[in-house]
Formats: sequence, C-alpha cells, structure tokens
Amino acid sequence: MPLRDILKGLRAMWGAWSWFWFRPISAKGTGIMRISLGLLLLMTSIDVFPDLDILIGPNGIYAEGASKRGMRLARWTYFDQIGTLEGMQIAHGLGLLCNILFMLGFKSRTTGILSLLANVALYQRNTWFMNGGDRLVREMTLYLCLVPCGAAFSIDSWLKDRKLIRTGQRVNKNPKIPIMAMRLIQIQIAFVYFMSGIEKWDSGSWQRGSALYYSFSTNNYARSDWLVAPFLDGRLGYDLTQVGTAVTLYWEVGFWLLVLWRPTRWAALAVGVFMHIGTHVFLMVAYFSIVSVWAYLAYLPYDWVEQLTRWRAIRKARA
Amino acid sequence: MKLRSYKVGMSIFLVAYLLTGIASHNRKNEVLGATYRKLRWMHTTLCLWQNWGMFAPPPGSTSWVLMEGTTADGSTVEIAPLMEPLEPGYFRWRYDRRQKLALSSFMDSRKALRNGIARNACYRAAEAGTPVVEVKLLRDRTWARRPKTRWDKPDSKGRHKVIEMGTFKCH
Repeated sequence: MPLRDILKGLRAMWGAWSWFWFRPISAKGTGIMRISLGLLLLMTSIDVFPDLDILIGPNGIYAEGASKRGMRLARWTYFDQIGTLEGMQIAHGLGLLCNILFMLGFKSRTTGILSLLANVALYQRNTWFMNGGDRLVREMTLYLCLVPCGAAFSIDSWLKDRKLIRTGQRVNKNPKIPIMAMRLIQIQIAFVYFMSGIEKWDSGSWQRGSALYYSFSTNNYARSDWLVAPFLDGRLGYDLTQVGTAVTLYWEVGFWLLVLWRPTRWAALAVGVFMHIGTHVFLMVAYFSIVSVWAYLAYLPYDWVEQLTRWRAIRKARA
Repeated sequence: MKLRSYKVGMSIFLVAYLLTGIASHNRKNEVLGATYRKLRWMHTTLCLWQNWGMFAPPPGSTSWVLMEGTTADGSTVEIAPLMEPLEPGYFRWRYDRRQKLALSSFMDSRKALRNGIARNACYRAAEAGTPVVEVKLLRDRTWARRPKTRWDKPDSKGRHKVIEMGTFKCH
C-alpha cells in the first residue's frame, strides 16, 4: 500500500477520533453541570464536618500503620502530616472553600482540581467512610476539569467578558468547548450500570426477584422502617419489589445499548430517574442517586440550555 | 498549535485512562494484567476505582457494631457504639458515615479498620473518665425474615447472633 494511502487512512482515523472526543459543543450545559457538581462537592464537605474528629482526626479511625509508612502515590494525604484536629479542620475548610469557588466558576479548572484533591485526601486518610457515590463525584469532577468548564455561567466568563468590553472587543455569547467531558461522563455512567448489572446477574436473590425485598429489609440501609413496611408486609408490596428487581437488573445490563438510540435513550433515562428517586427515598445511599441523575444531563442534546431558553422565549412571546 | 497539543495530550490520557479501567476488570489476562500493574497509579493516586457491585448481593441482615471495654480492675463496661442501633419507627434524613465505617469493618480483611475503631473506643472511654485496657468488638446481627415467614407470623423475629470481631489492647 502506498505511503500516501496509509497517511490518508491515519488522517481519517484521527479525524473520527477528534470528532468523537473534541468536537466543539456549547459551554452552557457544562456550566450548569459545573455549578450543580460544585454544590454536590460542597454538600459532601459540609456533611463530613461534624464527624471530622472520628472520621479522620488524630484520635479518629484511620489505618495507623499505613499512615506511618509515609507519603507515596497511593497514600499522599496531607492529613497524615497534620497533627491536630484544629489543623485538620482548617485544611478541610480550605477544601470547602475550593468547592465554593469551583461552583461559582472562579479559576474553575484549578479550583475543581483542588476540590478533587481535597476529597481524595479525605479518602486516603480514611478509606472506609466514603461510598460509591463519593467516588462517582470525584470521577465526574476530574472529567469536567479536563475541559474549560468555566467558559459559561462563571466568574471566569464574567471577568473575561468584562475585559473584552473594556477593550472594545466583541463578547462571545455562545462559547464552545470540547465535547470530551460529556463523552467521559456518558461512558462512565454506562460502565457503572453495566458492571453493576453483571455482578447482580450472578446473584441468586437478583435472579429470584427478592433483591429489593432484602435491601428494604435491612435497617442499615432503609431510610425508615415504616416507609418500606408496605413493600415487606404484604403480597402486593412484595410483587412490586419483584417487578422493581427485574426492571433494575435488565435496565442496568442494557443501559449502554438503550442510550445509543435516541428514542430508547429517553426511555432509559426516564427509568433511571424513576429508579434513582425511588432508591434515594427508600434507601440510604448518600449522593449516589443524585450524582447519577446529574450525569444524565450529559445524555441530553448538547445545546439543551439554548433549546430551553428558546422555548421559554417562545412561550413568553405567546403569552 | 495550542489546540493540537491539547488534543494529543488528552488523547494519550484518554487511551491510558480507559485502558486502565478495562484492565482493572481483566487482571487475570496476561496483557491486561501487566497493563493494569503499570498504569494502576492513574486510579490509585486519585482513588478512581471502577468497582461497581452495589447491592450485589443485597444485604440479608441488619448488623450493629457494639463495644465492650475491660478496665484495669477487670470489670466490663459498655462503650458507646459508633452508631446506636435504630429503634422501631425510625426515620433518617442524613447519611451516617459512622455507620458506613461500622459496616465496612465486617470483612475479615479489614483488620486495620477494626484496630482503628478499637483505638478510637479506647480514647473515647478515657475521655469519658472510664479508661479501659482492652476493647472487644461485637457484631450484633439479625437476619431478615423470608417473605412468607413475615406474612404468616408477623410477630416472629429474624435469626439473631452476636459474633465476636476481636479483642484489642489499648496503648
């Protein structure tokens, strides 16, 4: 094969790769996602504050031996170097400040990365008090910080526009950013469901349809015993949990396939929203449900904010 | 030029990051296992694991970690647990991270966590004015009743067992 054809093929492949990962999209959707993810990070940080002494404090619960082995890639947490609870509270407070700045969009990518590092530092100090939802929040923060997530609805964009106006230049009202963060979020969520579905597939109670019944039966996870009682105390409630178990299992395994095609994508997302709201209402799963539904924004049309604005303007004009 | 460098840099990151995610689930494969060992720092440094087995299998019981302390004179005292067992009629607004700690400690491999819970219990007992020399961790476990048992005998209780999780010396 001539070299020219090989180069042409490689160029075409690079073009397809670039289209998939770096195609420019409106920054407004990502801006809204940054604000809401910043709020989730902030809620996590506030949530941990009252128990900071037990969770990471000098007399708290952490792996003492691992802490004494010193800094390394897998455990670089600065909390190991701080000897007092007050010092740890200040360090955590600074992390909380980064969450607020990320949410407001001030030096968005820097404060986003700092928020991520602050969250990881907590996790590395005490691996056992965080759950899958916290991990998902960390992953989403990283993905947003790989693109200019502060290009819209942020202090960064406001400062940039103000500078442009001062120097007499035109303001870009519809900034574009690479699609990469949305792609990573889409892949991550599909991967989470698929892996979770595959693991559930091998479990007897998921196959028999009793998984939801047993999940509701444990006081460790149920939000309230009287709230789940209707599902446990009678035949009808049990039948409903059986339907819920089957829907969850097949939906999780097939989610990645369902979101590929637009008509089934809406159905898959609607089932997901319903399922996550149900999970959040009946079970204590921290922020897992919230961050999962947040991630669905990545599956919407990339100009959903503009579409919403246009729709509102039309409605207003008609009124 | 800046955009091209960004695209190239990010492409390298994307390939390595996604490959690590796939390799982490195929560690027994020779090539992917070796890849994972080389690249796992991408996950460990920022704690971005890709294990998602939520509720598989679902929990079949309710468990609470209880603690007993032994004082220097040999008497036994109760130490406040990380989270008090819930009474019937409960409702919770907030996710309790102390409970997450307690639930995490049931796996046999988590000796460091059990040590940490006991160390903290020693500290709290001393702070409360009842210093102890050792702490015993107990798992109070009640299994969920089968649906039919629950419907036929509403007043029945699930199987109950208290399991010893270890005794730890206070330093």
